[in-house]
Amino acid sequence: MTKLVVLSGKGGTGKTTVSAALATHWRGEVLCVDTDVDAANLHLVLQPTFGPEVPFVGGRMAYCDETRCSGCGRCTALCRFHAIAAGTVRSLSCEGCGLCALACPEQALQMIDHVGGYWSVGTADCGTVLGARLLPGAGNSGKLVSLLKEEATRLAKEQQVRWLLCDGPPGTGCPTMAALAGNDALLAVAEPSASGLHDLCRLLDLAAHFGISAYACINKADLAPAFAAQVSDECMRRRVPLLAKIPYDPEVGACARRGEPVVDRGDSPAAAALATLASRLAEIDL
Amino acid sequence: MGMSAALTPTVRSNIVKLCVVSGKGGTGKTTLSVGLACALAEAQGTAVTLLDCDVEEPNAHLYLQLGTLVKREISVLVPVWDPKDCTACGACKRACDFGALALFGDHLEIFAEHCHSCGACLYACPQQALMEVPRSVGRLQKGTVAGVELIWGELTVGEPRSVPVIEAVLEATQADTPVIIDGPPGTSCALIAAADGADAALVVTEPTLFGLHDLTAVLDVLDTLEVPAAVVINKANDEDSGIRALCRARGVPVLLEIPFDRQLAERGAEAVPLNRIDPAWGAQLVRLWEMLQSHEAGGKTP
Repeated sequence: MTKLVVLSGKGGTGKTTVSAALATHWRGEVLCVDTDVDAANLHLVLQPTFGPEVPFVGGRMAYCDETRCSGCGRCTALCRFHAIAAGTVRSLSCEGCGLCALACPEQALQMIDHVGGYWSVGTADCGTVLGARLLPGAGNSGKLVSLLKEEATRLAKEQQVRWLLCDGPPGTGCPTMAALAGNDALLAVAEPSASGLHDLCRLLDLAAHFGISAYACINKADLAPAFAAQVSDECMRRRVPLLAKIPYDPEVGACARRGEPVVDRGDSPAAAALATLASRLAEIDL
Repeated sequence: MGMSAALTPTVRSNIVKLCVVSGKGGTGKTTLSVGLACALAEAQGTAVTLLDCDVEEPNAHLYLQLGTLVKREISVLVPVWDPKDCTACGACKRACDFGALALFGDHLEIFAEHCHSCGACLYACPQQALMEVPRSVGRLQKGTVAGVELIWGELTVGEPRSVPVIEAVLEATQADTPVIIDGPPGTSCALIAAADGADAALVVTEPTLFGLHDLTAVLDVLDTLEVPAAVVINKANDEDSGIRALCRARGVPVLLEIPFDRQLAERGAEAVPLNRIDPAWGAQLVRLWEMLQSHEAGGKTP
């Protein structure tokens, strides 16, 4: 089994479009996991039927028993997240560290498990798809990503699929690091723009930091040929194989509006490039 | 999501601090934030502060030819231990909820990158064998051009926690000028840190199912934060994937539509601010700011 993660650094470069296309190509030999838990979109294209949702306990949160609180203010003075005042916990600010509960002389404060989201296993045409949704404002998305990947790895081994495909979040922080860790290879979806190039470099730095081999493709490559050339040079310099240049194609946007994988549109230039990408990835020993 | 009526955002008449968010990445937050800051500074002759709080991928500086840059490190406090005073009792490890401390025999191992700087370990230590030292997690930079002061944070590659860097950027200005915050994508802790306490949020979305899905999620977060919201539809076309219907249902005004246009996309790729691509867009952005001052930004849940 090959574990491949699709990331981009910059948001909106086409991670989900590329992931959905690969999944559709590898139908029957792939298990997909959407680790962009903040803004999960893969299911909008692959349209799996999800099973029951499983709660995700992201961490703990302070709870105050007001009948015990003497109003001494010790918790307020100690909390570094400004999350507690006059015995009232502001859940959005609470980091779950438990210092207030440790310090409360009246034992009025307790730490309780906090459900930060839900995850579930679904079935789509291409195969099994794991997805999650983070509740508004919940933290610890990296922990949810790690949990999803663990479950996905277990299921992928059970199903003996060739690919474990992980659609990742933007950025370089906690959820991205959780999505990247433990994969055999990274596919970076680059965008030919000043921002896209800047963010690609940060992502490739992160992959190097983790020692994960990186491959790249450029989406909407013909929209800004000068930047596409710069992305291509940067990949060359870093010895990151550039596997495909996907042309700008209005059909991709139309598919995103309808919720269809672009690969199903045989006559589209982007679909053709994505098909090439899928077969190249299959040829390489990742 | 059942929100109580008491949490429904109220109208604020004077918007000074505006946070630009999106949920989905790549919808045009930076294009809009930079364009708005430049257009306002130009049209009103006032100074504008632009805070780039997308610290995992800060891009606003690529759009501006900034003069001399001021740089400084952004640090968080992490514990260090003194083996002389430590009795290896394990109280610190038990107090740490983030797995940042481990005890191997009488050796305390500190995993600083997991530390949330809460101070629980120091509080728990009966021997005062722990103290805190600063640890760099990113850097802050400032530069000014044509009335726009840009302050941006950059999370060091390999560091997981963006919130301390975002907070450092927000704290780096006491300006009484209009403040425009270029926010992070997503709906989790980074977004909360950037949008909490803003007078209003401008949600930049795109007319796709992805845009619609993530717009819903981000409006839920803004409701929770009690930050009133207004929407800009970028890359607009005839089909809108239900964006306008959602905004109507939630009482959130759509204040501007930027059509999909190949030339806009090409110039945007070169990091040209929207108002410089076409001055007509500058005028539209100033109008957008004025509408925000007078319009009922909303965020009611149906």
